[in-house]
Formats: sequence, structure tokens, C-alpha cells
Amino acid sequence: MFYKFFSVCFLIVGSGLTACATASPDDPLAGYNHAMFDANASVDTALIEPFVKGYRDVTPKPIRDGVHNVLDNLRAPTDLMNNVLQGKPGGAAQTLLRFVVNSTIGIAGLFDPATGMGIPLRTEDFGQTLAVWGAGNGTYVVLPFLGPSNVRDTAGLVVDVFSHPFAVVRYRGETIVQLTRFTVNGVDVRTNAIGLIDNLEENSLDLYAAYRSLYEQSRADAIRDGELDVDDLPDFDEFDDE
Amino acid sequence: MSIFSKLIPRTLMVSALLLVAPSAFAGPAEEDFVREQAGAGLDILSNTGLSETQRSEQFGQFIDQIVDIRKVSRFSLGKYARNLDAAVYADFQSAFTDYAKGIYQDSLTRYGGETFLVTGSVDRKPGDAVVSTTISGGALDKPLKVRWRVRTKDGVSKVIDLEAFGIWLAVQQRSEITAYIANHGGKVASAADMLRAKTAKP
Repeated sequence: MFYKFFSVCFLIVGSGLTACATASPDDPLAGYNHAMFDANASVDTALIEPFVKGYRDVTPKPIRDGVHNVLDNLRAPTDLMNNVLQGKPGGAAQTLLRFVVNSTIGIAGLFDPATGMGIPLRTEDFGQTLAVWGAGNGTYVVLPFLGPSNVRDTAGLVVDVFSHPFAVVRYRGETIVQLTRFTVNGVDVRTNAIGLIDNLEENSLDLYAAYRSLYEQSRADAIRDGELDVDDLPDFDEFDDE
Repeated sequence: MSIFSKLIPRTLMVSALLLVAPSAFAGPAEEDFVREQAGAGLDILSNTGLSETQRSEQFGQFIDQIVDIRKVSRFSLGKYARNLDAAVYADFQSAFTDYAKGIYQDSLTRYGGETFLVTGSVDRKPGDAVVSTTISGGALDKPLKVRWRVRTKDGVSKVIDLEAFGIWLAVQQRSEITAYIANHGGKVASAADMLRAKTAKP
């Protein structure tokens, strides 16, 4: 079963971690989070980064784009479910239409003609759905391999993983299929982020804080579907020169 | 680093908004300000008669002109800005200004030649507006939405923050700088030293 993979990941990466950073109301799991962040960074430096840079160097871009398109297409059931649960019929219809177009004209999702036809990807996940339903972020937590998250989004991730047709439908080799999708998706995401992460590591003053802020801001933006909420912006008035 | 990074907005691409070209789009004062200043930034970048040093100098002056760097640097200190010794603050502000200019210029070079359109604006409160723009073409494979937060005081408008992919740059910088200070005994001077070290890197 796929959940065994997650369990093993937590056990392997989480073993031997000790709390070093000081917990605070803002980050009650700071000890664990910093340790997991460091563990993730070590795994990335030793294994993941060299692998994805090799993948990028030896794989032509059209092939990498094809892999990316297939993965995007495979997430359509998740996007569809969450658009419906968030009461977004337009988004649900768009997701369905996009899936049909890319699965047929796009040859099983290898190509993305839908975007060119004005049907862009509209990703929605269950973490966003919970937020739309009124759930707060919950405690900030760094997940093994996956990085920054929070209680709400972690719960959402579990729902998304186990509600996907690949997990619901019984078939021979389902564990292999899901592990393959998980792994290839990770490689795809990390490959596309090579330049961004290198830049972040070069310019950031505090990587842990940088990743946390990026995660929290981008999630808030995704939940608002990119719409601006000026009331959420910080006040600069108190920072006038004294 | 971790694979959540698909969600990482291209923080440095925020700076691409400074590359923009002017468009004919009527609007309130803050929109005009963004449109005009963006055009000035584009002129600097596209001026082939400038050496790298000259471009760097002119770009620095451009940032001084359109960004309220004093306010942004103080904001980036968060709670550490309170009751701060004037000399320590002046030192930090100097380091922060050079650091910010370096980041802007790197990105400008990378995303030069974009086209730009002001798409609207909204007032947060009097003198505090957010101007929405779209950048397209050049190195971008699809249009990039960028928001400029503009503060107007005594008839003078200045940029205090920029947003792309949902990430506000000043908010991001404040998170990193306050975390760094907290991890270094609450000493603002330590952040100034680190900013200088980052700026000095080739």
C-alpha cells in the first residue's frame, strides 16, 4: 500500500532527529522543524540535487516538458474534486475539459494543447479546500522530503493522495504505479526549481525563514486564487523614520 | 532543497517589473507613477551606450528615485527597528540598500526586454495604493502579473513593496532578516555584516 511508503519515509528521515532550535508560539515545532529542514537539505545535497541536475543535462527539454505535462494531466481528478468541493463549477468544468483535450489531442497528456486553446491549468488541492471551508493554517511543520507545510495542508495532502483514482481503484502493481508517480513528480518539480533554489541559497540570509515565508505567502495566494486582499498587507506607517 | 519548490514563486523575477515599457493607459496618480518610472528603468537597461559600471550607477540612482529604501529597510527590521541606535540603523540601511540594488540588477539583466501594461489599481487607504501590472514577452513564456505597492506622501510617490507569484518582496526580506537577527543574539549589526557579505559575493 502507498501509505506504507509515507510511513517508511517518516521513520527513515525522522529517526535520530533531536530538537535544537527553540520552540515559540509562532513555531511550536521549531526543534523538529529545523532538524527536518536540515535533514531534507542534506538528502537534497547528497542525492536529489545531483540526480536532477544529471536528469536535466541528459534529457532533452521536449521530453522533460512531456513528462511534466503528463504529471499535470494526472492530477486532473484532484483538481476536479477540489474545484467541486470549493463550489467552483467554472473551475471544475475547465479542469474536465482540459483533461479531455490533453488526454486525446494531447496524446495521453504528453502535450498541452489545452493551454493554447485558452484552458489553463487550475490547480486546487484539499488543503486549499479546507481553507475555503474556514480552516486555519494550523501549526507550521516541515515534512520529510516534501518540505514546508502546516497541519491543514498536510491533512489535505493525505486526502488528495488517497482520493486519487490511482489509490482508490484496485489493480495489479498499484504500489509501483503510485511510487513511480510520486518519484517522477518529485524529480520534475525539483528539476524545474533548480535555478530558483540555487538563487535562494545564494542570496538568502536565513534559508529556513526564507522557505517558510515563501510557502506561507504562496499558499495564501493560491487560496485566494491570486486575487489581491489589501487588508492582508502589513502596515508600513509605523516604520517611518524616527 | 525540498520539492515543495514548485510553489516557490520566482522571487527575483519580481524585479522584472522594473524592466517595463510605458503604455497608454489612463489612471490615477499611482498608476501614472508606475508607468512612467518603469519606462525610465527600461531606458537604462536598453541603453547600449552605457558601460556595465555606468549602467550599474544609473540603475542605483533609479532605485533611489523610485523606491522608499529608508522605509523598506526599516520595515525589514520588524520589531528590531524599535528603539534602534541611529548609528546602527544607518549602517544597516547602507548595507541593505546595496544588497537590494544588487538583487534588482541581477534580475533586471536576466529578464530585460519585457513589455508592460498597467491593468488597474486599488487603494488600501489614502496614500497607500497597489498598482497591478502585467509583463509579457522576452524571457517569459507566459505573462507575469506584478503588483507594486506605492505610498504617496506630500505629493511624492514611492514604491515600498513588489509582488509576483503571490510573494511580496519586502515581506520576504523581513522574514529572513528578522530570523537572522534573532539567531544572532538580536544584534542588527550582524544582519548588516551578512548583507554586506552577500553583496560582495561575485
